[in-house]
Amino acid sequence: MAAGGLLTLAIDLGPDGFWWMNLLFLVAIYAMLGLSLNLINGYAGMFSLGHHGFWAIGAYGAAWFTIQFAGTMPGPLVFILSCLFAMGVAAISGLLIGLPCLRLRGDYLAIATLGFGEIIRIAIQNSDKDVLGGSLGLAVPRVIMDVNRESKGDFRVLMVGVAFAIVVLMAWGIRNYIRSAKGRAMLAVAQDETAAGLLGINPTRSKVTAFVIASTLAGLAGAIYAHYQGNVTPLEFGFMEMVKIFLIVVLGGMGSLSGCVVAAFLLIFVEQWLAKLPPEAGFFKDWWQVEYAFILVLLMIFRPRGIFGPREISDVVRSLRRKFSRGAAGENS
Amino acid sequence: MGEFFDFFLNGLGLGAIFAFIALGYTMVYGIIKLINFAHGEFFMVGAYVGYFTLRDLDIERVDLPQPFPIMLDFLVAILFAALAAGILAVLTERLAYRPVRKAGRIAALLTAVGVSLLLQNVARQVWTANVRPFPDPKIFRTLDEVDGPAGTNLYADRDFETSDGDVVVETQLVVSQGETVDPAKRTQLEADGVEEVYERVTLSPKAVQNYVLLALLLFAPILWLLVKKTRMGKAMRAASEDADAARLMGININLVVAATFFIGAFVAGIGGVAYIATYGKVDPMIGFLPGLKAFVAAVIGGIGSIPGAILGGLILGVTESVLPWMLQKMGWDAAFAWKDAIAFAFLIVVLVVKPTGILGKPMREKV
Amino acid sequence: MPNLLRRWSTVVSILVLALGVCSCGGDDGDGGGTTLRVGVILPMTGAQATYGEESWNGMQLALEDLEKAGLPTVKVQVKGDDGKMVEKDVPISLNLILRDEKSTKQEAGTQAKALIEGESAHVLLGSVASSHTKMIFQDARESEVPCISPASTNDTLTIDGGPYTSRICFKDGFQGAVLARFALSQGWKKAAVVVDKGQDYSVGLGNNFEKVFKQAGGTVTFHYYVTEDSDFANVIQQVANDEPAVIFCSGYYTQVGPMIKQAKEKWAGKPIIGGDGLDSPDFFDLVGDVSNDIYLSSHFAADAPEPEVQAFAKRYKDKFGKSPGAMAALGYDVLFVLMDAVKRCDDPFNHAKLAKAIRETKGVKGITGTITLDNEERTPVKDAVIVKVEAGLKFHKKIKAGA
Repeated sequence: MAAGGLLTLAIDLGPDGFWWMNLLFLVAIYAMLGLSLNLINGYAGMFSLGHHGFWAIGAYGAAWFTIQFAGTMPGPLVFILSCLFAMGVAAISGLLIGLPCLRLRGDYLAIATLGFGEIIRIAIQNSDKDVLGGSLGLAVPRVIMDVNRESKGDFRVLMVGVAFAIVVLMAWGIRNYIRSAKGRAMLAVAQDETAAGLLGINPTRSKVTAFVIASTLAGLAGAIYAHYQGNVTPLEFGFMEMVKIFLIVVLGGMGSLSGCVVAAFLLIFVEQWLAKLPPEAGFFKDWWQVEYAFILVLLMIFRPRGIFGPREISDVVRSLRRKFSRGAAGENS
Repeated sequence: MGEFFDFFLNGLGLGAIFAFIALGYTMVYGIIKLINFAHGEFFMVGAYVGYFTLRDLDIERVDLPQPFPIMLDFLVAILFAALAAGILAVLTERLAYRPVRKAGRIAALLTAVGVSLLLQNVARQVWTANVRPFPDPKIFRTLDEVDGPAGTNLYADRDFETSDGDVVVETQLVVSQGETVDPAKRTQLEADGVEEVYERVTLSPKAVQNYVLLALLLFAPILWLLVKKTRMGKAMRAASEDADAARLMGININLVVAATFFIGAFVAGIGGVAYIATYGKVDPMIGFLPGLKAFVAAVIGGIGSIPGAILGGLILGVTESVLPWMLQKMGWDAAFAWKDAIAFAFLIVVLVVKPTGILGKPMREKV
Repeated sequence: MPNLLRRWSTVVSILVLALGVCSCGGDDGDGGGTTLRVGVILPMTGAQATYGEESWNGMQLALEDLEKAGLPTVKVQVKGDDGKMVEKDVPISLNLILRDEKSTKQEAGTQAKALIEGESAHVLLGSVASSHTKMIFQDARESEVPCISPASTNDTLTIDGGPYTSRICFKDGFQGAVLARFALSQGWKKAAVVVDKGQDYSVGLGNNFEKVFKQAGGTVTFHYYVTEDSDFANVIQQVANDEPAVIFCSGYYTQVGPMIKQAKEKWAGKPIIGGDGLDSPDFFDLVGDVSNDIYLSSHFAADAPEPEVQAFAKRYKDKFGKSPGAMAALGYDVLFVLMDAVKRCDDPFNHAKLAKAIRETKGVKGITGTITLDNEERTPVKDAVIVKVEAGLKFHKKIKAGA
């Protein structure tokens, strides 16, 4: 019961500390979403614009489960089970949407998944008040610990820890998957579907598997998010979020896992920092949304494969170091 | 049956506007295989330009018998809106799309999403995110012209100076419908500082939609002829078949693409003015959902095909209207709140069953 | 595995580095503990912009009046002439920190967090739309910061929000009943209710109306639209097919206004009623020139006969050039309720004590009526007014809270 031990810590973060913990938590969530989308858009060569739908499904799945079972089991158990439940629901919906849609290619797949994301949002918004809360959303009971003025700091620190642990595990898992036989088959399908088919790979199965894994992971991100926020509303999971996730994947480089985490940090940091500025800060704060879109366009024009491309950060650091030492050596001689 | 017909017509009215926007989508896709997400924003910018023209340019004061001033007012607004949208589209194509044309489909699509967000947010900053009421056309009269019972409500604008010295325009109802204006009333109004009164012409959406349908019937053949019969059209078709071969044949691809963008956005600009006149408000978000729906319409009809865009628009409009109505009849109370979901579900079904849409050409796979 | 560890250690060290560089933010002084930081969250832009604008204008007037009358004092330790610390009464200064929630739920939550955690606000005021206020109340509850909503009427809001949350307007249970009784008093027995599925306010108000209207023998049919809709042809058609005696448009002005305009022909001549969500200076411009009689229930009417209302309306108009709507009056009142609580509180900078003082608000005379908060729901029992829409909002009649 790590949670019980933390309860007595009573961490007082102070205004800045709270802000930082909130920021880091959001970074972790967007990193999870970016990593899972990377599997579809970066490695599997598909093009999904409906990832926010799975995020929403995960969040609502966890919220629903927690409401049903809070109090009947120890809190941390409800938390873990709700996460598993959310992943299960997201996996099943990933399969249901993946089977018919993954026959489509490129733009058509993008549009079909975009339509799917919108359907999810509308369905939640129109749902019965007693089931999924309708437009009001659901309040998620606090099961890990009671959150109040004293324990707020503990709660944030704990959630940030949990979230980052999941990010690391997720990156490790995806990396191993890609290096496995199935992962290599997926990369082959992404390169050339017909050729891969001729080699005896079942392209549809390979694609659906990647899609379902990615949806499951997005569902997990949704579950953690719901427990942290304490409530879920349908409008949180709009198309704008999808663009943000996509921007993280592109910024970090499609097919780069560490790049994804760094991109999530950069993007969310700037966003939260600007939100924190007082309204008098003027131009940069007001025009942030504009700059955001502008960065996306510029990036696509000048570096369509992301800042680092498909390389990991360590590769970049190594090549920079090599370049640097070579430069230094050149000066010496 | 009468009830069904009502909903069918409502759907047709809505579908006509979708079709208007879908035309531009389909033309652009047909030629460079790009889903131009920013198309909805060209539509929105057109709507704003039309809004400001109608609100600020006082064309309705032109000294002509009614209804010519109002018609002139709208024609100028539509022209400005269409031109603004067209020019914006050409600039967008030059500055954002052309540099990524060679970088692959995903890069191009993401650029389009980015441009769409960019324009939306610039509009938010420049024009604020507030919902603005559509400026109803006014028929101005001097006080002497009003005599006897008033046929409609008459309003007057007056300036009000605040304690900080700002001047604010205030609208007042000075004569209500049926009230008799006699010399006594006139003297009273003059004493209140009213020199001129006006009648607000609140357009009925049905009337506007009829004009939209009419315009559609007019525009679609023109566009079709443009593509089928003119030299530019021939160049467009050649470019869409095989851009490299067309270039070798001496066709200026950049010019052809720019022209396509211009025409598509020009039509969307007209749709923008029609949209705000029908639905009575303008805000920076109006491009998003209609743009998405229009794209859905273009896909349903078969993207790349002009008759397909029109057919797809009308089918989508009717589906959105009639299907929820039928579901409601079957006992699903809130079916109309689900109409957007129904539209997207319809799209997914069409995509899965016939990915190239109703009138689309079958896809060829290059191996 | 070691390879992986090395890669990730790079990522982590970059994050930690960034953390270290950026976390040395300065702490701004606040004048020795006499500044009450009041976080104000309002929709200043977006689909509900007139609510925010009016409320904020109202607060500006209230601030002027409060400062003229002299702000309450608090005891602080200051260095006396002889160098010893003495206790002295110092008037507090009010720092209103305005944040725009952009007419979205999410932004309301984000701004509440920013004000509570970043600005260490002592108390929050806001917001208008019930679903947005709900987001703010959730943060207020868990952080135990007092929060007063000037204008959110949804029934369960303050119950879910807990003891730190309160409001100064009536709730929809009352507003729905007022509208139902008004409709019945006009002899309208059959009502079509048009509800925005995307707004709690709209759904809740519609249900409350139905409850009372049905009890008194009326019949009700429901029709739905969603906030994103622009084309209301279908909902208009359904309502027209029902041939109701009265149409109840439960929703916000940016949707209902265009809806009535689009229904110019199909709803011709039918009376229309609505709630306080329609109380906006833009409403008439959105509706245009239609033949319907439109009535709405609200908290306040600028041309009501009471002298204090008249005086407020005149001052407001002189300053801002427009007649005040209900949100302006509520914005004015909310600051007075807060100051009244501060006056009664021995330590207004203590969240728990201030919240307790707000809960004990009794008989504060405001522009929108006398405000007394009860302990269970922290919602006042107040009168409503029926307003008629004709080139602006005109006072029609007053409906007493008890009736």
